[in-house]
Amino acid sequence: MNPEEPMNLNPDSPELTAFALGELPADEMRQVAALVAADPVLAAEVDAIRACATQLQDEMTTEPVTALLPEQRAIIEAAASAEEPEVPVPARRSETGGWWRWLLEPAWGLGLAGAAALAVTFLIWPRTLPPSTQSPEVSDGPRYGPLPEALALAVAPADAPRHRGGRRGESDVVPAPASAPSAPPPPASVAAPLSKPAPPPAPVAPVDSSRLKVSAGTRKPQGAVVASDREAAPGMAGVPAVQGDRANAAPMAGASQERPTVQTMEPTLMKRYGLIPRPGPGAEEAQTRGELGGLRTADAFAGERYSGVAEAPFRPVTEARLSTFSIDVDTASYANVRRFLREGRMPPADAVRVEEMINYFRYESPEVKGPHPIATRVEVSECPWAPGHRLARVSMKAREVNRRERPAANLVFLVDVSGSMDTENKLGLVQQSLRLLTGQLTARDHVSIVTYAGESAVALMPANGGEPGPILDAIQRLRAGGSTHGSAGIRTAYALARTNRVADGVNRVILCTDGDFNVGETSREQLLGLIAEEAKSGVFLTVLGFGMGNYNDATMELLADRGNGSYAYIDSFREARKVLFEELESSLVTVAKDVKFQIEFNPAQVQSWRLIGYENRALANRDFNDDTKDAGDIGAGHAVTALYEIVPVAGGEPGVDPLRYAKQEPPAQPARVRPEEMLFVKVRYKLPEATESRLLEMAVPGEIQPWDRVGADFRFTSAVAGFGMLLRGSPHKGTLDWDTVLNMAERGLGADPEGYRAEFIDLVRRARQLRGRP
Amino acid sequence: MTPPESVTRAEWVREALECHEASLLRYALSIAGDPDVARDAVQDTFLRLCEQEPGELQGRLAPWLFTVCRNRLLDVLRKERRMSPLTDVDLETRPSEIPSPAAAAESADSASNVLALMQRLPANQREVVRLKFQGQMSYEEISAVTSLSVGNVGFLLHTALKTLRRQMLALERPEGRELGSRIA
Repeated sequence: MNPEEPMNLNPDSPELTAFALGELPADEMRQVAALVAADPVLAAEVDAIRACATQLQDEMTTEPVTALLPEQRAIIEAAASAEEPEVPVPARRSETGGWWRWLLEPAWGLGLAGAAALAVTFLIWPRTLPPSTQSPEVSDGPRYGPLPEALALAVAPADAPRHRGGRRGESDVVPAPASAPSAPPPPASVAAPLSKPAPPPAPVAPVDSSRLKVSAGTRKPQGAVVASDREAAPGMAGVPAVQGDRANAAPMAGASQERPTVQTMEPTLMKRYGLIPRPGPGAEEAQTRGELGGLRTADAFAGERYSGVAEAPFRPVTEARLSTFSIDVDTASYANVRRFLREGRMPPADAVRVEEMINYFRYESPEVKGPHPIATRVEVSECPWAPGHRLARVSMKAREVNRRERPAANLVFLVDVSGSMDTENKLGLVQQSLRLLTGQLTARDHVSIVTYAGESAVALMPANGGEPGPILDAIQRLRAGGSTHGSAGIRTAYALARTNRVADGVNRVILCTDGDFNVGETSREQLLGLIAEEAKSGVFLTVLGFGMGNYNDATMELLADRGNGSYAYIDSFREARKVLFEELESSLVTVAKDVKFQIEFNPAQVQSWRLIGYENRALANRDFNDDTKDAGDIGAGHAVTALYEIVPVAGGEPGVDPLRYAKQEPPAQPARVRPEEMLFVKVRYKLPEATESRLLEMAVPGEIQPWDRVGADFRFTSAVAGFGMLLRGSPHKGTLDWDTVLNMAERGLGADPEGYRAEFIDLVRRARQLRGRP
Repeated sequence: MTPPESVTRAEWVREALECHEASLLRYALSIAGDPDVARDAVQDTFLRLCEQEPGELQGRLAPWLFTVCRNRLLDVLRKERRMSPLTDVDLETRPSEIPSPAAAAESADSASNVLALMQRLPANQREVVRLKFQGQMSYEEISAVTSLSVGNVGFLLHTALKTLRRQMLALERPEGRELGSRIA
C-alpha cells in the first residue's frame, strides 16, 4: 500500500484483517480507523473479523495435542544441562531406529491386548424380585460371615496367585445373555464359575517384563518411573499412610449405618482414640437433603460458591462392611476445573469432585446386552500410588440410543437473562448452544423458550423442531437485563412442559444460567420440592451452567439432582458440542433412574477401603433397598465409574487394636466365609417410569490383574482420579505426583477420537506448571 | 523471554518448552500429518535450541523455533517421500487434501467446528492461520518463518478468515442461506 495514495477500502480488502488484528503500521492504522468509523459496512466487517479471530484464538490454543514423550523431554533437558554447547544427539528415532519407541509401542500394544484378554468381567445376574419379597437372609444379611482365625491366617493375598487370565476376546469377556439362565440362580452358584478362572493363556508376562528390564537402566517407561518413585518415598507407602489417615479421620457421613450396634459404638471408639467427632451420620441426612447449610445465608452470595467436600477416609471393614452410594453422571466439575487451569489458576479444592472428573470421559465399558438397560463390570489391579493396596474399578454403562431412535422431545429452555448473564461467555454461549441443539431437532420435537429476569416471560411458544426458523429467531432475540427471579420462570417452564407433554418421549426443562439464583418469595426448599414433584410426574430438569465470577456450583448440582437430570458446565463452544451434540442422547434420554450401588467387602480379603469421590453421593446403607429414596439417573450411553482403594488383609498392619468388647457373632457358617471373594456388588435401578427397583448383583474374586496388564481405560481412570487427588491436596495421594499422573494418562490415552484425553494431559501439564512438583 | 545472565541454559530451554511445545507440536502435526514425525521434529528443534546461546535469540525465539521446526519437517518429508515437499510454489497453489463432503461433515462432527473447517483450507492458508493464532506471531514474524512476503501473509490470513467465517455461519445455521449471502 502506498501511503501517498488515498486509501480505498472495500469489505474484501486484506487491510481490514490486518487492521482488525493490529498489524498495520501506525499511520495506516489511523487511516483505516477513520475509514472504518465512517462506513458501517466496514465497521461490521471489522467486528466480524475480530469475532472470528477471537474464536480461532480460543479454539486453536486449546486444540488438543499430545505432548512430547517423557523420554523426548528428558533427552532435551539432558542436552540443555550438558556443559558443551555442541550437544550429542543421543536418541533420535530417525537415526537410531527409535529403540525407545520400539520399546514403548509394543508394551503399549501388549497392555491393550492384555486388558482385553484379562479384563475381569462378570455377568450380572438379574433378580427381579422387589426388595420386600426378598429373603432378608439372602439379600440383606452380610454375605461374608465372620472369619475363623485359622482361615484368616491361611488367606494371604500378598502371596495369592495373581489373576491367571480370563477368556480371550471382548465377546467372551462379557458372556452373552444366552448363557445366562433365565431363572435367577441361587447366590451360592453365582460365584462358582467366577472362582474358576480359565486356564492361563499363552504367557505374555515374561516378554513384557524383559522389555521393562531392558529399559530400566536407560530411559524410564512408566513401570520404572513408578517403581523408583516408590523407592524414593518409602514412608508414603501403604501402612503408615493408612495409620496417618486414621489419626486425622473422622467417620464419614453415611458410611457406616450398617447396624445400630456399630453406629453407637463409633463415638465410643473415637473417644477411646482421642478423636474429635465431626458431623457424623446424623449430618448425612442434612447433606443429602440439600446441602442447604452453605447456601442459606445471604452473606454467602458473593463470589463463586462450592459446597465443602470432605474426602472419605479409609474405613476398616471391622467398622464398615458396606459402601452405598448413588451414581453421579454430572461432568460439570471437570469443565470447571479446566476453566480454572486455562485461566492460569489452581481450582479451589472444593470445586474438584473426582467422580465428575472421571465420568467426564467415555470409556469402553461393558456392552449392554439382554433385558437390562445397564451393564456393570469390576476390575481389580494394584493401586498405582500406594504399594500393597488394590484399586477396584467399578464401571457401569447405560444402553446407547441410536440418534434416529431417539424418542420425540418436548424441550423447554429456561434461560436466565438477568444482568449478570450479559457477557459473551454467558448469554452469547447460551445462544450458540441453543442454536446447536436446535439443529438436531426434527419435526417430532417441540421447543419453547422461557426467560426469567425480574419477571419471567415466554420468549417462544411451543414451536415445531422441524422448522427451526422461528426457534433461531427467538434465540437471536434473547437479551440480558434485570434481576433474577428464578422460581417464577421455573413454574412457567414446567407449566409449558406439562401442556405439551409427549407420552413415551423426552419431557425436559433445560435451565441455562450462571446460577445466580434469587428465588424471590419462594424458599429454596419449596423450589427444590417443586422440581422433585415435577420429576416424579415425568418432566426432568437438565442444568447447563455458564460463566464465572458469581457462579453457583452447589445450587446447580442440587437442582439437577432433584430434577432427575444431569448438570453440565459449558465453558466453551466445544463443551456445548460435547453435551448438546455428541452426547445429546445421553443428556436427554434417561434409561434408568435412582441407580444405587452397594458394595460389600469380604473381611477375609479386605482390611480397609475407601471410595474415591462420590462424597456427596453417599447413601445410608439402609436406603439401598428403600425404593422411596431418590438417587442418580443415567442417560443413554452414559458411563459411570467408581474407584475403591482397598487395603488387603495381608497388605497392611491392622490399623486398630482388636475390639475389647467385640460383638458376639453367631458361629460361622463355613459356606458363607467365601474366602475366594473380595467384593460383592449390588446395583439397584428403576426403569424411567417405574416405581419399583430391580436388582443386579455379582461377586468379584480376589485375583487381581497386575498393573502392567491393565487396559487404557483403567490407567486413564486412575490418572484422572490421581489428578483430582493432587488438585484437592488429598492426604491419600501416596506416591503420586504430576509426572506419575501424566505418565498414567499418556499410557491410557487409547484411541481418544475426540481428543478429550489429550486435552486432559494438557491440563495436567498446566497444573504442574502452576503448582510445581508436589 | 528475556533471560538475564543468571538463567542457566537448562532453565531457558525448559521455559521455551513450556511456552512453545504445544504450539510447535500442533504446527508440526498440521504439516506432517503424523504425530510421531511431528514429535521428532519438535524434539530436534529443541535439541537445536540447546546449541544456541540464550542471548542470541532474545526477542526472536518463537520465529526461530518455528523456522527450525519447519525446515526440519520439510527435510524429513522430502527424505521419507511421505508426500511431495512443500515448496513455496506448492504452498501458493496446492489445495489442501480436501476430504469428500461426507468425510468433511464427519470430521466436523468429531472435532470442534473451526478446527474441522481449517482442514478444508488450502495448505498455505492453514499454515499462516496456525502461525498467527497458535504461534502468536506478527505478520513480519510469519513472513520470516515462511519466506512469504508480509503482504502475502496478510492476504492469506484475510482470505482464510473470510472463508472460515462463511463456513461457520453455514454450519451454525444450515438453512441460513440468506444470512450467509447478506454478509458475503
